[in-house]
Amino acid sequence: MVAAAGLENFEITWSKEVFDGAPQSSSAAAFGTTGINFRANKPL
Amino acid sequence: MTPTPPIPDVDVDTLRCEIQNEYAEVAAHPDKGFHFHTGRPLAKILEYDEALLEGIPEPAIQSLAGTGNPFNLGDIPAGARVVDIGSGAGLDSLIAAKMVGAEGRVIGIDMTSEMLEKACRAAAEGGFDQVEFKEGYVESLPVQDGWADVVISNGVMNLCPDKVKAYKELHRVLKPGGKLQIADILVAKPVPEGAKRDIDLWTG
Repeated sequence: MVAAAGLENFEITWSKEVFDGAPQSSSAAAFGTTGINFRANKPL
Repeated sequence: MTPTPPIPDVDVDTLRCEIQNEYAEVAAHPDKGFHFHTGRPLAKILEYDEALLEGIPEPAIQSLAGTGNPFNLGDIPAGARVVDIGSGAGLDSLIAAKMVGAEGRVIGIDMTSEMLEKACRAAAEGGFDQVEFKEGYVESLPVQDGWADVVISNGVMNLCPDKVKAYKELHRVLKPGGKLQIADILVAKPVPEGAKRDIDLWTG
């Protein structure tokens, strides 16, 4: 999706289970959802 | 090239309304207990350096509800122009403001009025004159073409049904060579089409 928008050099740099232990139950675990950081850039 | 997934069949206005209701609660009652962590405990989970939080008014920290940390992707240079997509109560915008300094500019954009009001109060309390907050949607940002050196966001892009359209809008506001530093979610298991149409699952 990022590349389809014309952006390049997409890179995920970090991933973590950020919903674990939240006060209310979440659908996150059912779908294997993790928090991520990623970078990309607009071409020159 | 990986094929682009189809756009989920959800009513965008209804989805936006549900998201606004949820995040108005996060603005008003950040310690209420949600399906996600909030505030300083979340900042610790997301590995925000304590130094980043220094000088930030507490209300902006209390309503943090992100999924990652855009600043772990690198500092933002002094004098830069930054757009914060889904700025919430303003924490990431204010951290960016510290990095860009008085010569830089930060525009935080959010669709939830309660969050915008909270962010504006925090910016005023902290004396962050280089920041402004605007109401808007990811798919139609109130920012001119090619304005931004850096676009940041934290836990927001997953809430846009048409993600290619949303990322094209980020592409539009970036300068050539401009950077995205984004925190979001990654879903490892296939999500059934029926679940994609279930708006409750978008917010919970």
